[in-house]
Amino acid sequence: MVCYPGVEVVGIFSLETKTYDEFVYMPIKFVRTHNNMKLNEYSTILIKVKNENDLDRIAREFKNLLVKHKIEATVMKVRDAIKGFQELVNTFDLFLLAVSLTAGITDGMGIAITMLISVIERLPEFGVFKAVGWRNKNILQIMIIKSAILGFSGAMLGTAIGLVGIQLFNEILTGQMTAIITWNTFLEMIVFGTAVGIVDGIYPALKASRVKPIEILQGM
Amino acid sequence: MKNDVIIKTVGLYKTYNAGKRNEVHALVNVNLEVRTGEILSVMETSGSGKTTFLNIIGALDKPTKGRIWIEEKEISLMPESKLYWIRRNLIGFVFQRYYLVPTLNVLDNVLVPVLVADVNWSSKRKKALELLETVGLRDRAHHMPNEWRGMSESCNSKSFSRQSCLSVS
Repeated sequence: MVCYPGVEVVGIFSLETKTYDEFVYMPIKFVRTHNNMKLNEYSTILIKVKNENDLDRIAREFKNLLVKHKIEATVMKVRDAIKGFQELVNTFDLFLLAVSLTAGITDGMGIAITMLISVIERLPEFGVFKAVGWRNKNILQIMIIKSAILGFSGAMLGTAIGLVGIQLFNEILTGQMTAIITWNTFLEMIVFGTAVGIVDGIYPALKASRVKPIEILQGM
Repeated sequence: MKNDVIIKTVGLYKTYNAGKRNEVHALVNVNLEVRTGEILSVMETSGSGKTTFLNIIGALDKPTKGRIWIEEKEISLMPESKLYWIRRNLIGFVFQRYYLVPTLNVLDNVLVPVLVADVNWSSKRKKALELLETVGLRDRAHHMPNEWRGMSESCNSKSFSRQSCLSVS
């Protein structure tokens, strides 16, 4: 296949990574000619060391060599690049944690308000329950279970939405980055969501359990 | 206290807003004995203290002064944490206004008092169905309250009174 005068495509390779698959590999002489580069000019030199422990020494020596020959260039170790990327990922993790906590607090407030409204609406019901022999702890248990279910359901729904989001993210960034959700993360989310539900259900549950049946029945 | 006396009150007083200008003496020295099998009607003008009296002997309210026994158990000295047992096992209420739990079906509404009790579930369920039969609601046992709104309020009340009486065997 010829697509440029003097150029013939001899093969297409695929690593299934967007970063490398977008590269075009061609003879250096051809590149130099078409980019007005000198014969001894290189844009990048990749050096692979045999022993990782020699990396710092070799990088230092190579830098000295460049300085000695007054060549302006940057020496960068892949390890440093990874470290930098790791720092970026850590910062991103912190950001995600902050977002998660904000979502958790909002979620908790939502549950607390929902439970409180539910308790207020159902006060006559609780009054009747207590009048026919329910104990405080019976109502407390039921309300706590209800708020735990709310928290659990919210966490499950949130996780499902998250999975859809991850799928979309991976579709958009095919080959560049892959987001995954591990079982640990999944369990953490479910436990956290349920715990938020329980904690935020305590006050409404106490309010419901301490209702005085006589006050409710007098108001009915 | 004689064995056939199931409710007894001695020197029962109930005063609202004690010591204030709007002080109300709802009950003054009420002495009463109700025996097994007796049907007692309390009749007086509105505001005379009938509901207050029923609430106190129903273990829902405390007297200002006086003593009450239900089946030889003195409830006037019982803490709130123990009164639930009296309400669950010895008292049956017909509330002035019925209150049905909209999320429970008719049968479960009848079973409300024993939903959280440690009881023989199948026998209570059977009894609840029998009670629904007596008020003509057996066919409605698995309906939700909003599905039988058309029925008379008295019927609902009857059913609910059974609910409260369920645990009294």
